[in-house]
Amino acid sequence: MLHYPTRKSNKRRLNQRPQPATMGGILKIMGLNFKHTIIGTALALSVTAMLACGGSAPAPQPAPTAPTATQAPAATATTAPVVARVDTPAPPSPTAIPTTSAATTPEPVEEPTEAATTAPTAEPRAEQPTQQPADTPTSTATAASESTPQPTVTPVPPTATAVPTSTPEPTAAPSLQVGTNVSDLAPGFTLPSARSGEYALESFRGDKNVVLVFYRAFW
Amino acid sequence: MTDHYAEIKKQDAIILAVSADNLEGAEGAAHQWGAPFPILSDSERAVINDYGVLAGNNIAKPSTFIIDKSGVIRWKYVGSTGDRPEPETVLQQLQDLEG
Repeated sequence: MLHYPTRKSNKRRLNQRPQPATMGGILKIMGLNFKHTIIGTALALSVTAMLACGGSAPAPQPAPTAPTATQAPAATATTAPVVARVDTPAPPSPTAIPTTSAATTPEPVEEPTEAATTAPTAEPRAEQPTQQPADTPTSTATAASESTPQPTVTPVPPTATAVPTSTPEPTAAPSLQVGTNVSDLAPGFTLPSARSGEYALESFRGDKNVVLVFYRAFW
Repeated sequence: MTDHYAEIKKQDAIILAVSADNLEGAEGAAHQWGAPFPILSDSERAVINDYGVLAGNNIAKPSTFIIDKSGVIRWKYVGSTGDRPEPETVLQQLQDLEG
C-alpha cells in the first residue's frame, strides 16, 4: 500500500512538473490540444507534400519565363527549340498550382526576378544551342565546300588536258635533279676559252646538243 | 674528234673541250691541235669536280658527256688514263639522240 500511492505521487509529481523537453509539455504550455496538433501536423505535412509536388511543377515555370525573356535578345532560330521545350512543361504547372494558389502566387513574382537575374545565365544556355545549330550549318558549309572543290577539281583536268601539248618539256625539267649520271640534269658552268670569250652550258639549252670532252692537260 | 667535227655539227651539236690548264695552256692546245671547237680552261677544277672526273693527280680523267638540248645527260664515258671513246661512237650516240 505504501508503494502504490508512492508511485501515484511520483506520477503526479512527474505530471505536475512542466516538461518543456517533450512535445506534450510544450503543447500544454501553449494551451493546445494534442489531437489538434496531430491534425495540424498532418495538414502541415500534406501542405508540404503539395508544395513539394508543386515545387517540381513551378521549376519548369522559370524555364518558360526565362526563355520568354531570352527570346528577345536571342536569335529566332535559337528560340525555336527553347519554345518547344517550354510548351511541354507549361500545361502541368498551372494544373498543379491551383491547389496551392497562395504558394504559386509568389512564385511567378519571384520568377521574373530570377529570370531577370538569370538572364545572363540563360543567355549562355541559349548560346550553347545556338552553337550547336551553328556547328551543324558549319559542317554543312564544310560539306558544301568539300563538294565545291570537286567541281573545281573537275574543270582543272580539262585545263591540264588542253595544256599538255606545250607542258611536257617544262614538267620534265623541274622533276630532274642535277647530277652526273645519265638522265640527270647536267651541272651548269661558265668557263673562259682561249680564243673567244666565255662559254656557258645554259646558253646552248634548247639550241644545240653539247659534247663535253674533258682531257687531262696540254702539258 | 677534230676530224669528225663537221659530221658532229650536222647532228645539231657542238663540242666543248675542258681541261685543267690555264688560259695559256688551253691556247697552246688549241694551236697545236688546230681544234675547230672551243677549248675551255678550268684551272680551278670546279667544273671537273662537279662532273666527278677529277683524277688523283689533280687533272681531269679523259671523259665525254653528251648533253641534249634540254640540259640532260644522255650518254657518258669516263676513261682512266688514255682511253677515250671512238669518235664514231660519239657520232652514233648523237644520231640516236636526234633520230
